[in-house]
Amino acid sequence: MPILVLLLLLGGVLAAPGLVRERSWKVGADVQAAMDRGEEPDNEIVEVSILRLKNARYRRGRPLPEWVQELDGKKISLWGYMAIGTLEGLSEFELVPESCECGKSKVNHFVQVTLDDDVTRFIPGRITLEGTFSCGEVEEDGFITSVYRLSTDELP
Amino acid sequence: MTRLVRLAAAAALLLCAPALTWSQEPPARQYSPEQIDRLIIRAQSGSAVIRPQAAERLARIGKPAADRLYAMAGTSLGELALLGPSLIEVLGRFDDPRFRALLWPAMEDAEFPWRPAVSRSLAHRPRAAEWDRLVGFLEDPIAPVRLATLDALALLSGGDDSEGAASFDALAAARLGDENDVVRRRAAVLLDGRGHSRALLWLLEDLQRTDTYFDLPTGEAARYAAVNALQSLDIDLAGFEAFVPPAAEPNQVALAKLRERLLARASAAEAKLPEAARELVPRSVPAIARVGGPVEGARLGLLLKSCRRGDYYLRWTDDDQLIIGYGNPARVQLPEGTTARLMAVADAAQEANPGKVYWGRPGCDMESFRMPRVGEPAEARLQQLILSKDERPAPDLRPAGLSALGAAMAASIPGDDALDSTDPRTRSLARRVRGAFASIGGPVEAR
Repeated sequence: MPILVLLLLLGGVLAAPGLVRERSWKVGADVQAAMDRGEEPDNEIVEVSILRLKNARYRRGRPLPEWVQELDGKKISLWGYMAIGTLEGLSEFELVPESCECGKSKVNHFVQVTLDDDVTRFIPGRITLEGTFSCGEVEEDGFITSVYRLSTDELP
Repeated sequence: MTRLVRLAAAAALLLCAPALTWSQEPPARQYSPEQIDRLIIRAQSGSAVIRPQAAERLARIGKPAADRLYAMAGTSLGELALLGPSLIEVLGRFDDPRFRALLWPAMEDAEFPWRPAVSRSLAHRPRAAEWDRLVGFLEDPIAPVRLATLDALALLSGGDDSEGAASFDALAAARLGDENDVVRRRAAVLLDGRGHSRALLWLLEDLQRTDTYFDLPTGEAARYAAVNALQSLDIDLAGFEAFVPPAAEPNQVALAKLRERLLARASAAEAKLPEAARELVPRSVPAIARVGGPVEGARLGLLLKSCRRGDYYLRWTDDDQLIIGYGNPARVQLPEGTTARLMAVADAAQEANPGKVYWGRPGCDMESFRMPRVGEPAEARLQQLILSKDERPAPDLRPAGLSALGAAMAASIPGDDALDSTDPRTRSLARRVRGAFASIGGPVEAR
């Protein structure tokens, strides 16, 4: 019995990289397949509703829906509001579906935006951003700090 | 071979899972007082996304965390408030009567800043003796409080007490006319669970919504919420997609199928109800819950979100209508020239604060003014000026120009005798709007 368990564990270690690649949240299956074929990722911009992301089924530790994973690594266009209280001069902020989320920020209810060539200034009202989307849990000290992220050059 | 290796991997991961879980979440006895204190600090002052997670973890620790939190919560509402909303929200999870004794006075104090969190905490495991006390909060000005109260009463009425169940059904049916669509949807789902499945037609209405409050897609948000609610009941949506406009052909086909399914579900459920209970849910969806027509020519907007006084969505149109709420909003005709006069005050407010768009600090209380930019056509994208604050009073937060605009907006709301007192959105509207202003950026009347 212990030998069987050992074999199973060994099998797990050997197979794990393949499994991780297959279920990767860094790059969706379509993008991964294109990269495996040596193709450049598709640069067509996909319009995504932040409400659809917010309402995508998310449970900690479970895979995100396929359609979300398919967006990973793609260029997307996304509307939303800067979270109230976004400080000036930072390279990151939270994009939310409604400007006042009232301190109940669920991890799948916002997109963590990184500005590559700009810093934050508070913009009231709806904004639309274009950038590269990535998804999957980012964990710090056992807390999930983001599920959705967008890397963009600058604010509108 | 690959499949065999994958099977082995899956089995290995399954075998390892308990150990991994154990290493992530040590049992309660392993948390030192210092670790508990660190979690409390994260739940109070971590980022908005970490606070609820830290509080959840404390709730799972149980008694050692409860004892520490009770020592911190003290005996006054002021000390309880200092815990912050994330911690207050989990106090009810400890099932500790000491916390209920602390939470109830907070629930009953209209000035307590975290009443939504208090109400959810109390609703976690309500006591039968609290029924009468809870019922009064179904008319609370704050929608999340009404929502949590509905949940609490549903839990209490889930037993064998048929009188209590009938009483709950009537209370929930009344909430189908709530001014807040989230509350209406919850009432519909709870009523479905009690055999009144006709209430699900309220969700069907939400699936057809396309309304907006300026650039905020309130209708699209309602469609997602209705989809989630129906899916939670394992109802086949016939291919309806919330992100696709409801007028699109595939969604029209899906809506027709769904209507048939819901009507069949309602008929089957009603057949099992006592005769007297079959008419509890109205045969037709009331206007407040129906799909609304478009709002044309909105030139000014006022959105107030007050943790103490509730939310108000107001718009003034270029043909002098006051639009109250969203979805299918209430519409009140104002005297000719009202909107133009308000726009002049809005111009002055912008000119007094050139380039400034935000005042205050992050928090739950918010005033959002929408208005045409000075010098730009009224049809152009509106300027939005925002004030926000946390739980601490900020009576002088609002600049004079916006106070003048707020006062003029409040003064333009007709008196009670000119408004429909049966509509919860228009009842005592001017007084309630002034109250919300006062609780956020200070009173708007001349000081």
